[in-house]
This record gives sequence, C-alpha cells and structure tokens, in this order.
Amino acid sequence: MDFSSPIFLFLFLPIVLICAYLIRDEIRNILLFAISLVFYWYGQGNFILPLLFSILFNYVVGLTIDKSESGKGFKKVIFVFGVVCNVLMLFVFKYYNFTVASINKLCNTSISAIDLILPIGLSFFTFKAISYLADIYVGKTKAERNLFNFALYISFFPQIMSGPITRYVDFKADLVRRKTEIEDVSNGIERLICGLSKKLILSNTFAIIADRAFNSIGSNELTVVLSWMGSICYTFQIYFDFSGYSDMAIGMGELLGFSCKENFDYPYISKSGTEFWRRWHISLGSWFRDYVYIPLGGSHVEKRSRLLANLAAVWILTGVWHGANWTFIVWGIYWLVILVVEKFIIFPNKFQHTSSKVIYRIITLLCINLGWVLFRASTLSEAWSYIKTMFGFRQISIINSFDLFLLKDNFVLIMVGIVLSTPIAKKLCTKTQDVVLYKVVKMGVLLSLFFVCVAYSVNVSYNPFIYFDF
Amino acid sequence: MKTRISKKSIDCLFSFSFMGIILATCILNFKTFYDQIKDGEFEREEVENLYKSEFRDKDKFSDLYGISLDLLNKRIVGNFEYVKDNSGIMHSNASANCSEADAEQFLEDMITLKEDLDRRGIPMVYVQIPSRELAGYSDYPSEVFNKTAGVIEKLMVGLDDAGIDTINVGEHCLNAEEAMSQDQFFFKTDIHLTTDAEMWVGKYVADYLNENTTCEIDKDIFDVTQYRKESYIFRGNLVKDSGRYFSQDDLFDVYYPNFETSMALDNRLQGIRKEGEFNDAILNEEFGKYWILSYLQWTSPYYKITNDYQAKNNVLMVMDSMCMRMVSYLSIGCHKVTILDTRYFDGIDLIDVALKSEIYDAVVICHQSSLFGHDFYPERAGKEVLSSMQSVNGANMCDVEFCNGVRAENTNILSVDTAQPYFELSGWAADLQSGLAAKNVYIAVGSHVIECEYGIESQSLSAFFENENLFECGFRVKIPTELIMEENADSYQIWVVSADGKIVYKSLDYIINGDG
Repeated sequence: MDFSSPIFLFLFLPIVLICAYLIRDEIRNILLFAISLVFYWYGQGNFILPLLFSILFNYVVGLTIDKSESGKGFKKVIFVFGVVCNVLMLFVFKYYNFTVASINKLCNTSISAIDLILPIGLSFFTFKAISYLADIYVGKTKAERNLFNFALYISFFPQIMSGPITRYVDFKADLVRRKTEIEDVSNGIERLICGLSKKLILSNTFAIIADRAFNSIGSNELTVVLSWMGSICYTFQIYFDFSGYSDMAIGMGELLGFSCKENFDYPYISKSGTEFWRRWHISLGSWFRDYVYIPLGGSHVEKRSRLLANLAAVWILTGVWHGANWTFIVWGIYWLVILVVEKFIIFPNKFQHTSSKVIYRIITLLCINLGWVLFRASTLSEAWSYIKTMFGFRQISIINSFDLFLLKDNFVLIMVGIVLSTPIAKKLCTKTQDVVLYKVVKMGVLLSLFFVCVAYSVNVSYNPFIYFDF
Repeated sequence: MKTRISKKSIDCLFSFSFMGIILATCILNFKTFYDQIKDGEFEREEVENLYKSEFRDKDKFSDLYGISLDLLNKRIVGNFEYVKDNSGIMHSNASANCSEADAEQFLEDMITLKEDLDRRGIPMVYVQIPSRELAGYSDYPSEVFNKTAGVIEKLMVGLDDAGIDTINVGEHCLNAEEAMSQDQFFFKTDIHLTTDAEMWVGKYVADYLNENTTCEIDKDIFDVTQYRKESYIFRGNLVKDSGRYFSQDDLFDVYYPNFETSMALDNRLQGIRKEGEFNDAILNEEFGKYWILSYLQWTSPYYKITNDYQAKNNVLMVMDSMCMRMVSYLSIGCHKVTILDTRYFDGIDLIDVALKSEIYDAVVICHQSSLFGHDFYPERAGKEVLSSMQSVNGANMCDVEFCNGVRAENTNILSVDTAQPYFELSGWAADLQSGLAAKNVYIAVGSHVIECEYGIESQSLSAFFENENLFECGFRVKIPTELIMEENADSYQIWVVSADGKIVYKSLDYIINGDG
C-alpha cells in the first residue's frame, strides 16, 4: 500500500490511529504488528511469508545468541549462521536470477532462473534483522523476549517499504514505553503532510519529465537540453520521493509514539561527495559504516591497500543493495572512485578559497547528477548513450521547441525544487517558531497543503514507485 | 507561560483538525470501498481506481488540482494526458495519437469498402475531421502533440490515388471564405467540435451529396437561422482532471427546429426506439448528462433514423462521436440515415450487415484520426486465417450449453427471440484430438464468422474427460439478432481451431428457430 494513496490516507490511517489511541497499552504492540501485517499483505499478497519467516527466524537466533556465553565459539557460529541465512534469503529473492543471467551470459551456460517476485522492503527488513543480530552479538543490546515486540520492530508498517533502517537499540525504548504528547502528534502530522507534498506534488511531477527523457534514450527526441532536464528532474525526483517517504515514515512513527532518526539532511547542499553520503540515506550509510566498514577495520588499518579494499567492499555492497543490475554495481564503483579521489587526492575539506569551494560544490552536484543517470538507466549502454547525449557526443540537436515548452512549463517547479532542497525554508521556520501567529499561519498552510495533496492523489494516476529494486 | 499554552492549544487544534478531516473523509468514502470488497474477491488495483474515481466531491478536488497547476504555472495535466495551450485551450494527447500503421490499415479498409460499394453502385465520400492541432490553429510546438499531420496528409494522398472522394474539413477551415475561428470551431475543454462547427461541416457534406449522388438535400437544414438556439455552460472531457478554474468554460449550443418534424430513432442493439418531433426522437432523454451525447441516445454500433417528412435520400454514415450533431441535423434532410460506429463493432462486420439491410444513395465515412486503429472489418483477419486451414468434421469437439443465460434443452435447435437485440451463446469447445484446449473458437452464421470469447473456466468438462488441460475451454459469444435477420440465417456452426492452429473442426449445423 502506498502512503500517498487515498485508501491509505482515508481508510488505513484513520483505523490505525483510532486503534492506536483507544486500545490499552498492553495489546497496542500486538495490534500494531497485526496492522503492519495487513499493510504488507495488502501490497504483497502471498509474499508475506518471507517476512514472517524473517521475524521468527531472527527472533529465535537473537535469543540463542543472547543466551550463549560470550567468548564461546557457539555464539559466533550462531551469529554467522543467522547473518548467512538472512543474506541467503536476500540473495535468493533479489540476486539469484541476476547472478544466473550474468553467469549464463559470461560462460555461455544455461542455468535456469527461478520464478520469484521480490518481496517489497526485503532489503530494508533484512538489514534491520542483521543489525539486530549484530548488536546482540557485540553486546550492545539484549535480545527481545517478546515475540510481538520483535515482530513489530521488523514489520513496523511506516518503515517496512522504504526505511529508514532503524536500529533495535533505538526502537526498543519506544516499544516498551512510549508516551504520545500533543506536540509529537502535531509534529508527526506536519512531517506526514510535508512528506506527502514532496512525493505527490514535487516528485511525481518531476518524474514525468525524467521519464520522458529516459524513455527517449536512443531516439531523436532526446536532445541535449532534454537530457539535462531529464537528469536534473530525476535528481529532484529521487530526493523528494525518498526523503518524502522518510518524512511520512518518521511522521507516522511520531503519531504512534515512535521516534526515528533523520534519514536525509539536505544532501544537495553538500560541499563534497563524502559529505553528500553523510546527508543522503543516512540510515543506510551508517548501517554500512557500523556493520561492514568498521568490522573490516575501517580507516584504522595499516596498509592503504586494505583501506581501499574496505572502501571497495562498502561501495560495491551499497550499489548491489540498491538493485540486482550492473547499473547499480557500476554506480557503487563510481561513488567509490569519487570518494577515494576525495580522500587521497583532492581533500575538499581543506579548500581555503571561496572560489575553489564554489567550484567544487558545482563539481559535486555534477557528480551526483551523473551518478543518478547511471542509477536511473535500465542498462549500462543506455546510461552511456544518455551521458553522451548530455555532453553533445551524439549527432543530435541541442534544443527544440518541445524542450522550450517543457522548460517554460517546469521553470517554477524547478525553482521550488531548488529552494526546498536547501534548508532556507527550515531556517526561516526556526527563526519564527516562537511566534504564535506564525504557528496559526503554518497550521493553515499545512492543512491547505494536505487538501492539495489529496487533490493530486485523487486526480493524478501517475505515481511511480521507485523502490521495487531496493 | 501564556505563549506556551497558546502554542499547545494550536497544536491541539491542528491535530484534531487533521484527525477530523481524515476520519470524516474515511466515513464519507467508506461505502465505495466496502461495496468493492464485501464479496471477498477483489482486485487491489480495481478497488483503488474505483475509490479514486468515486471519491466524494472529486470535482472539487479536481478544481483544487487545477488551481495548484496554475500556481506552478504548469500547463501539462497529469502525465501529459492533457495540455493547455497559450490561448487556454485544452488538448488531449490520446486524441491526437495516430500511427502510420493504423492509417495504412484504415486506407486498406477504405479501398475494400470502395470496391464493395462500386459493385453495388453506391457512391462514397470520406470526410476528414481536423485535429485540434491543425497547423495554424494551435500555438503549440508541433512536437507536443501534432503527430498526425504527416500521417493524415499521406492518407489523403492514398485515398485520392484509390479514387475515393474526400472532403478535407481541415483544409476548408484554413482556406474557405467563411472559415471559422479556432474558438468557434473547437471547444476549449472538449475534443469534439462545437455545434456550429458540426453544422458547418454538415454544409460541405450536403453540398457533396447533392453534387455527386442522387441525394437532394435541402441545404437550409444546416442554416442555423432555421432553429431556436439555446446555449448551456459546458465543461468537457479535457478538464475532468483539472477542474473549472484551470481552463475557461465552454458553451454548448443546441438548435431546436423552428419547423415541424416527425422522426424515429431505432436502435435495436440497445433496445431503444424513439418517435416524435426531432427533440423527442433525437435528443437524449438524459439531456445534459454529457452534452456531446445529448444527441442520438448515447453511442451505439448500429442504429437508424427515419424521417417521415422526407421521401428521398438514404444515407449510411460510418462515424464516431465527432459527427453526432451533424448527422442528427442531416437526418432532417434525409428519409433514412443508418449510423455505424466502428468503435463498438465487437468482432462483427456490421458494415456488411448494414449494406445488406438497405439500398443506400451514398455512404459517408467520417472519422477522427485517433480511431483509424478500429477495424472496419473485424471478421476479416479470422476469415483469412481459417481459409488457410484444413477443414474437418468435428461434431464432438464442442457443444452449446446456454442460450441467453438459460440452459439449452435441445442444443441442436436454437430459438431466437427476434424482439431481443442480441442472443448470447455459451458452451465448451476443445481440441479433443490432441486433448488440449482449442486455439480459437468461432461461430459461423450466414456469411459471418465471429470469434468467440474463449478460455472461460470449464471445470465440469475437465472432470468429465479427466484432463486438466481442458480446465479453461468455455466459450461465449454475443450475436446481434439483426445479423440473423439480415442474413436470413436458419442455421449456424461452431468452428473449433485445433491447438496447433492447423485444423478447423466444424460442428454440424445447429438450427436457428427465429420465431422465438
């Protein structure tokens, strides 16, 4: 079920809120788990089984690790077994067919693929489960004794589809004891409306131009200007889509009494690629840092080659996590190269002159933009063809009247996109937050914005979902 | 302290307002959702689409959507479904879609029809309705929508080469002395022509018929001064998503004759017969529900208008919704007008049925370019394939089980109630030779070979033959009673195409008892 669909907003959400506020504390988690299952079942049908398996399996493994004495090999064996089984499930559903197709192509074999549908949110809930097992293993937390509490952590409906990848250590306090103040509810609603607006009004509208451009790869319709517009619009689309979903998830969490860390922090104002990845999909970046990079030794290794190997492992895995396609793997390697260059050659943090800082910011934005082209294209050859068009290496016209029409039609939208990608609005709000009149005006604006979102949700059938591969 | 309390109360007000809104909307729309799922069997996508389309006060949300588009200075609605041009006129992406292949198919159909009509000695003319993206009419960049111009130009040359007379209304729009301006010719909010434009087109059609056929049509029927005009505020199909504020409103003109008329509209396929004055027989009972269909009692594949005040002029119009008002007024000048709409042929060569039913003075084809893809001869492809197959007796390969939903007692004799518009047959058919489901199933009636809907669940058949391959071997077909009558058909056969598509098994003759 999509958070921005009218059925979710006007059927599922009211029922959830009524249940959550009116039902006794003792059974609230059980009820929220049941609601999360309904939410998942509605979107996935019979493919609820991998989720149920993951819950039961990780619950048992977590308890077993917890009960095992530390320092004993058994604990390690159980932990490794748990992680391997989780990764195996992810591999079977998400990567098996891709691996088979790649092997068949490379080795001219004919290993048959299996007919499986990728369960939505598999990467998200599997990563949650692995972090849970790892945290128990290193003694950061105790295993959850209550099955329903654990099940709710894994399947919590606001986060199951597109994250954030919350840690059990952050989630458990709210599982046991949470109090919903009116400020939390108000903040939650505000975040929900902001997320909806990002998704419905901005992201979906940017998507139309991006799709138009990326669907024209190879044709004469894709001019130089359209290709740039397409990549810029996709840059906005993916940010407003993903951060919009995160806002909605955080907002709904707050409505239900769960706090959640931020997942995006205005990534497009980053001064470097390294900073971009500290601001983009923070929960995923910190997951790889804590559960892959640091266990491998992180940057505290003696040999530079080892450090490079650690970075390579993280970035190839980051690419692979986003989808079973060579474009994602190359996208991961692309970011590896940029970050290695920044770390060992350019050192953008040490720039002194404003001009060099500004230039590097522009270069960073360009790198981000080109990275999204790789990410959005269906194949590497499509991505290459698209990039060639952007830089005028195809015998194609630079601009036509359709591009001018599109530019004119989307000028205001792009301006809005630019402003909302920066913290300008947030800073203005912070400065005036103590003024009561401001709060009243904000309330009015937010409710009006909600009605506009409903209008988009009810009227526009075009609603791309870009997490199928995740 | 005072400020803190105020802020908290604002938080309270905000939260309760939001909760109140979603709860009230939930209650107001709950019935739509419940009706969809109460049986326990539902398609998620269907439920969501219906929930959206029947959302309470959807038109107000459309208005709001339109306002927000205006605020963003956007002219594209949805995913390019509609676009507003600089003059505030709406355009539809779908209405301008016309592929070269479709136009080629259409040309082939026109040539086939022309040959058939030549054999019958009936003149034919093709009327090309201009698209809204007609050069010089719209200020839009041609890449946005106008993908039809070249295709239509080619089609017109092709028709000319085939010796088919044409009236290119688009050319007249640009060149005629009395050319209408864009806003007179097209609605701002609907793909159809204004009533004045249809009257204007009607003059050209009447002129052609008078000059090139035996028709003698009084040209005054298209003189608007002969009518009492009433104008109604009209919001067309191009603004259904973007509401009333995004574009301007249109006026829909209805011309009521100032003279006496006596007419009948006979739509056998929908069981409609209307008689009386023009206003009673031609104008829709549900006047104004959707203004374009306020004439001719909704759209239908095949119907006739008879005019008691005219003794001459029998015209066959093959058209779509673009000419509904033009043909309504043309019928005032004709004794009989038969109307065919290819969009609803549903697998049956109704052109053939119509040509057998009357001797026409002329045939007029009038289509918008987006409908070139609709087959004039939907039986043709099936007939061609079947003629290349080996024909074998296959009496035991099929059976009729139901006729009009009633279990057939004697399946060899089919009683057709001629008062009913259709008769519907259903049963089973399979390639029992190979123990597999058939490839296709057809019903052969007279000269018609109609493809059946095939693949319907047939659990009992599968159980009877103890063969899982026969689980989806049910067929269903709907045949217009008109076809039986025009063909004078007294029997029909079921033709079952073998699973490999090489043999056609033909059943014995099933007797048609037309008394009902």
